[in-house]
Amino acid sequence: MEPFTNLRSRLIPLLAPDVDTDQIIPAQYINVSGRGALSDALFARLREQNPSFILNRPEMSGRAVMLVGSNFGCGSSREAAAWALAAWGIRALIGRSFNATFHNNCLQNGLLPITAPAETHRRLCEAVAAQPDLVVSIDLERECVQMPQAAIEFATDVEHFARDLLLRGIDELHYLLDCRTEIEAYENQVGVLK
Amino acid sequence: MLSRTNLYVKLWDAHVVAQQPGCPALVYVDLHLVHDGTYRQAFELLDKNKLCVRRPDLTVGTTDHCLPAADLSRPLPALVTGLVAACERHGIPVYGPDHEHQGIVHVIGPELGLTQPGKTVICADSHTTTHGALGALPFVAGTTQVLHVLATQCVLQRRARAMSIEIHGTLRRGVTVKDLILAIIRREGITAAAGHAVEFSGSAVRALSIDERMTLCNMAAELGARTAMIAPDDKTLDYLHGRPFAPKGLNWESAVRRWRALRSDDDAHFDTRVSVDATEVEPMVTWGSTPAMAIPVNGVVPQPAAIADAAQRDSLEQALRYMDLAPGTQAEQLPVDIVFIGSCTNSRIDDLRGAAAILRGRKISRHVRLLVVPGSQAVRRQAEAEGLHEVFLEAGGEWGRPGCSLCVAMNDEFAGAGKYVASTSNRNFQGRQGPGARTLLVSPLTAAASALEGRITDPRRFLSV
Repeated sequence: MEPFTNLRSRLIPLLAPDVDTDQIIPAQYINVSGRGALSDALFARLREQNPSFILNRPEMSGRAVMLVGSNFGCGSSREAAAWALAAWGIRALIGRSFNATFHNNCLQNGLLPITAPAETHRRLCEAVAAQPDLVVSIDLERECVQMPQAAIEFATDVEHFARDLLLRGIDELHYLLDCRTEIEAYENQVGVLK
Repeated sequence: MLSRTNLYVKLWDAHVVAQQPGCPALVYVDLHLVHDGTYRQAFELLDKNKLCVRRPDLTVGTTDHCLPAADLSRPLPALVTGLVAACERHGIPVYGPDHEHQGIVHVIGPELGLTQPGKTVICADSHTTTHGALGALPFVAGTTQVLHVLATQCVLQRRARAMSIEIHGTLRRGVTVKDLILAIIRREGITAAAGHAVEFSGSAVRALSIDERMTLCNMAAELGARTAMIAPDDKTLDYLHGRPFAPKGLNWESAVRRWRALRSDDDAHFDTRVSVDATEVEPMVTWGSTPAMAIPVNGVVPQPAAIADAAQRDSLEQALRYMDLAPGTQAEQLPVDIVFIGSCTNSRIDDLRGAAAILRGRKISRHVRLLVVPGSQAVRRQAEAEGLHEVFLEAGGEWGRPGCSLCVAMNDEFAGAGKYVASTSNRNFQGRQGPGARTLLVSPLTAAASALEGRITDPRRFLSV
């Protein structure tokens, strides 16, 4: 996994509440291979059906941070939702709340989900509605999100364990594999049988 | 000091392998279920990292998500044959399309006795909550976590808050547990249990069969719950006794002693408590695009104008546009083109018996397509032994091959754009059952009655007095 370094980007606003993973990537595409196919599958239905859907606007390409609403990523546990967002180029999401499984799937793929406090989130939405090209900067080392032009600053809420792995670009698998001794001890103690 | 520990915490504590300060816990998995929908990338990474499966004996594979259900002339998808091959390569028992144990992962786990009280069960599927109906502790995984469990038999987890949903009263005739859980989701909202492990309890829960309890725990996912469970009781033991993978002989006796201790202490602490009266529940139907957008079958589609909150009003208006419905439409006037009876929510023998009781000796509406898909080969065999498949066929329906089918539409069988599907599945998200398809979530009884009338219909109209 690539280490998460500082990120500066304009925002892609997608503020509807309860965006489910069936919208993020329809089930038919969750096993497509390759970055290009996954990127094409991101919000595929909405992009097909609605020419004014946010991702169809040319100025959105190259943006790496999505500003979302509450309960983003609810529904199916499909990790392909995180894969498709990452394949499109999204590196961080700023929202009011995230589904727990989706939140975890993001972290496994170097995609940073940040929960903003209600008042800060409201101000972010207003700032982006008024000036769509405002830039947000995310400093994971300092645990800080800033949008100086709108005088917005708040702390990232990523727990330290996940933050350290992201900063070092280490995935959880290696942490788990390092716990072999403890796992063996548990199996011997409990006598795990089928 | 008296212990005030809830069941979730007891099961959690018993499975924590290690926990460093400030880190998530390393939790041991007793049963890992893999399926054709979400396995491929995990096995590829396992091979790429030159790792082997740590406990193939605690892992079971089944084919369900991608299997053709209605059109059996189509070849098996590569994901189905690929899962069987991957499992065989790693020594994992696997149930291919024709295996006697094959079926939907959340149907076969309990049915085979693989799922047992006190076990941690993980699966890369959000409806893994189903297994909690037997007093197991289910975890929902992503594909990367499938890799973690294959390689280490452990997963990193943060402990959830605990939520008690206590249900009293008696479900009235013609009202099912599916209606009950839809009514709860409607009242409490789709994030009511976010971050929580839910324990269902109360006299109404004790009165439910194990099949019904599975429907309840299954749909806890639609409350946003991270996991769900019901303490085991005599019904749980009766259900498990004699199942293929249930303990036998002396092992059974000692298992029963352990299982009987699995319950929350009196006055156990819960972070959140909800109380529900089952007696008030009517048959329910969803009209919109979240499971909370539900109304009683004698109700009407709501008026967005009456909603004060702007974001909520927008959601309702958006859902009405997608569903092409007018506010104020009576529930029993909602149109139905397709009826789907199946899915990990409602494809067990109790569900099929209920639907067949309404369809027996009757014909479905001429413009309706009825697809009945049993949850497993065992459910199929039992239904056929009772002649239920003949009831469905004679009524004008189709009898499909066990699998997820039209719930998730990953098998290239879609409901057409604009079609209204009265579905016993769990999600009515936009496009869930195919591009442009419009899902109306209902119980198996309401699904059967609606197939007869070609519109949403109160099943009590067809129940003999």
